[in-house]
Amino acid sequence: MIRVIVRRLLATIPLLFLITIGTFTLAQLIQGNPAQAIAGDSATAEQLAQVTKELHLDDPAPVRYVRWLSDVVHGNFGESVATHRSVSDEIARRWPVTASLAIASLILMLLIGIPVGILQGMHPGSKLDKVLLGGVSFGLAAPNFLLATIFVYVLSVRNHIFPALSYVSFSESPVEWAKHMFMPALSIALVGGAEMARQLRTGLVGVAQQDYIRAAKARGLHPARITIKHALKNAAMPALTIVGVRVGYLLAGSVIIEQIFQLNGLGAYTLQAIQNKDFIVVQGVVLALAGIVVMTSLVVDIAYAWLNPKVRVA
Amino acid sequence: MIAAAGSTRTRRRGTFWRRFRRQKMALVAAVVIVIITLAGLLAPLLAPHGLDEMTSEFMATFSTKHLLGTDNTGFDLFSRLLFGIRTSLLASLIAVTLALVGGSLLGLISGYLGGWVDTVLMRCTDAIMALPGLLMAMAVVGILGHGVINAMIGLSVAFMPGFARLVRGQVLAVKEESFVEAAQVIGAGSPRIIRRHILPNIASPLIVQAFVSVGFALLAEGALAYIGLSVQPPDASLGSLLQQGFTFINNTPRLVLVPGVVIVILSLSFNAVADGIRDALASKERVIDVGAQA
Repeated sequence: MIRVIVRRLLATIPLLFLITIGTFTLAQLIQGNPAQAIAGDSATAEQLAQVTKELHLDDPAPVRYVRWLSDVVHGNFGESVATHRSVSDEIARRWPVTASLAIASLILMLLIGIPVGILQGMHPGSKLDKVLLGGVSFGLAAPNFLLATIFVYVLSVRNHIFPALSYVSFSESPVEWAKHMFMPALSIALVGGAEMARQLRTGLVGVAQQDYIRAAKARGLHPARITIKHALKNAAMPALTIVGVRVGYLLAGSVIIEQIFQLNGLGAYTLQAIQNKDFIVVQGVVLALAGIVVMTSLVVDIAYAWLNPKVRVA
Repeated sequence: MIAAAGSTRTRRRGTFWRRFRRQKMALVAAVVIVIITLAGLLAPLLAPHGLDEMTSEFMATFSTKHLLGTDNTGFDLFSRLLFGIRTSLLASLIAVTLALVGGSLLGLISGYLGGWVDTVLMRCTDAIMALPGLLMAMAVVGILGHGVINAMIGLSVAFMPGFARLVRGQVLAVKEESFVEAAQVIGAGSPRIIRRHILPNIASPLIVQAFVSVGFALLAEGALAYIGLSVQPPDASLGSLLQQGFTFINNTPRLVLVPGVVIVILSLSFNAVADGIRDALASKERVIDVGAQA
């Protein structure tokens, strides 16, 4: 087990390194002339020269990359070109909003995906299975921005069930937090839940053919008990990986959903930075988001190896 | 020899169609895609009004004059919907074609050459995949500027690793087959082996992946248009129509629901066709192997 963890950690380091190179290059391409961007459009030639000298912008790209990387390692993501605020502070300030959204979405995704998948998998081909299959196909095809729009219309504008367009932090009031997070989180969670249900159904149908399930049936165990105790353990494996894969989608989805619900999270920050060509912010946020995705997939892989001894040998 | 190969191919295609036709959902979906695509392609002919032609009526509801009514600027929604379908489908097609060509090329190189080239390319795809697709597309829009073409180039970069890995995996598997070895023995060059022996054998999973990606690209273009990074007004795509309707959702939900329904139907259909092709191919995989080795 420890060997698996070490091996995965060692594989992650070059990946993170490549990501920093990619992010740095991306940011350089976004802003062709960083000195101009920092000093502003009305800057004189002397001011430009001064900014260039102060920030060592005339150093070759590899030198600037190494300097940026060492700053990043020390937790310093630089200052926004547009607002001159520290990117690290801004990320720290906005992170709770996006994390809330992601966690609430994950919870909803599991709450939708697991029961639907089990109900389908227990009686494949039944009427219930077919109805749910329709729902799953819809969930996979409906874009989150459309869902969000419909939720706002039906649940907020027409029926005032949920408040729209604001954020209450969890520490302030957990109930209000849940109320405010429900619609945005559900808009993102539906796709993941549908995918999870689909995987779980396929897994359960496959496991049902196994000898040990037939043996359990022969022993006269209750079908629900067979499904939950014996089948689910093995069918859950592929479904688990969906959680890891979905984290990236949750973060990408937050860009659009935060926009619709006017939440001030990392997604809104990214979009703003891209629209302003604020390359220092883009560089910082993109790196942070990619880092989160890599770390989650690391954790999921390790959890996978822990749950499934077969992977450890391979 | 040639005749034998030809007959195998027709037989293969025949089985495929027979199996595909048996899946009613996929067949219906394919018909839906054809109809909607035709409507989009023929938009300039079918649309009663121009893309940015103002009519004298504002926010009119359904009528024979304006099938789906008009919006706040007096644009005819039915006409804009047709043009929107056209833009959305063309955009998705661009993104997927670029990704298919670029990704397959990378995958072929990676799988066929192997060694350090393979290692470097695969680590790069890992790095690209760490960034969610939509964010990658947004970053590319940041570099190249707003617009639907740039957004689709961005999206294709995000799709490329998926195609590259798929092709690489298939190439690695096919490379070991005896017919490839035989071709090498009789002195066939790499381009010929790739074209004649490897590409035909990896085509089917690629087609499935392409259909899945078109469905995804439609949604992604919609999302990018929704946040204003893709289509710029007065042009319209399904996503931008939806976004423009959002402001008026309180009184005129029709402006959101109409493009929304079309986007869901299209994306559902592409998923269903992809599933249909996958199932039709999966059950005949063994037939291909036997045919290829015989």
